[in-house]
Amino acid sequence: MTTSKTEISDRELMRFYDGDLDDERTEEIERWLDEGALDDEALDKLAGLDLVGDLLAEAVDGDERADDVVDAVMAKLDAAGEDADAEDDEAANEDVDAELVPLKKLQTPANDNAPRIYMLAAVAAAAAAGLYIWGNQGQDVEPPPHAYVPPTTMTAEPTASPAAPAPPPTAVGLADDEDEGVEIAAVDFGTHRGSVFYVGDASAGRTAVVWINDAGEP
Amino acid sequence: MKIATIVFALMATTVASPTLAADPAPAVPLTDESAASATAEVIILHGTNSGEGIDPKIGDLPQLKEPPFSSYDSYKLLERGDEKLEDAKTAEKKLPNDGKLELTLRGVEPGKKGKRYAFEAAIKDAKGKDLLPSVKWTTKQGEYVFLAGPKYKKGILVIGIRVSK
Repeated sequence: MTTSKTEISDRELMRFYDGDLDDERTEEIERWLDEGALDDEALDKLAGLDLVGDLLAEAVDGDERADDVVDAVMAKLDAAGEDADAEDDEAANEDVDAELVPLKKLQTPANDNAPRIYMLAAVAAAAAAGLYIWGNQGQDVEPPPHAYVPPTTMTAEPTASPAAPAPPPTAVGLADDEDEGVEIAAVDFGTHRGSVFYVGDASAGRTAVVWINDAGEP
Repeated sequence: MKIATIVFALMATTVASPTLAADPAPAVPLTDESAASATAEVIILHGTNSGEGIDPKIGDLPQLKEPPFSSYDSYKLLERGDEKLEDAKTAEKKLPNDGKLELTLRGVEPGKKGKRYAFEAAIKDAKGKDLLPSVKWTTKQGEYVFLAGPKYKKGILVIGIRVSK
């Protein structure tokens, strides 16, 4: 038997989980849940949110900066305009020939949905780790002293083989300290060995040198 | 706490999401669109131990007398030229050893003491193989970055790159 189930947008799902939907819509979605009428993807996402909710709550609960993140996301979503709302409403109000799905599916995902749950869990774990680091950034930790003594050298060993994949690209951010002049952000020497030097001092201007140690014969 | 909002915001940055990925949380602008171009001066030096000293055409570069440059006692200017760079477009320059320098402007940002520029460069050998797959740096106008080491005629090539204007 071919059936279709009620779909719900990510935005509505997010607001439902956070209790931000109006009462009428909330009751409607809860009814769909009771009747097992939500589509599998939405069920997976809700199950994932259940799975990670406690984890994230431990990391960010009570931290006002988390509220800033929420506000920024919501502001961006709100700015998306009426088009997105209209799409959500349209999707939410689609007539469905619903198939009853046991509610236990929400609590125990079927095996064929496991990868998506694992993906959510992995994302959540990464998010929690990131939030943990983020949460600790505000602590008063004395940065290690780093007196500049020119020239300084950083040596890199070659990668395993020419076929080895290059390391993931490092984002090139502009240096925070504008007095530093030249800053080497990332170097990939590939299969070669090389060094990075900083020559000169801050007052006279500092020069960066990327030196390939074994460039081979021409 | 709006857990779902945070989770979805984070997912939008790591997992393709039809709703949020196309409209993620506000990002910090990296590039000043009005100034996403630069002219880079590229100098190519030949470092040897020929005893000839430093070519006066190179100009005032006292760094050439300091380590690691001092491992060669002579530097001769082979080439000096400007490369007009547009944001994210890679300029290519042939090197004297038939290798190739690839230079890309990755961003420009106004700073307290003038603009700061983000670059990425790569060097390939004469056969097109990666000699230096990637180096990324940020700098302000007038300050050199040197890429050194490609072998050339009993010495090495030293490539100096700086924003000239």
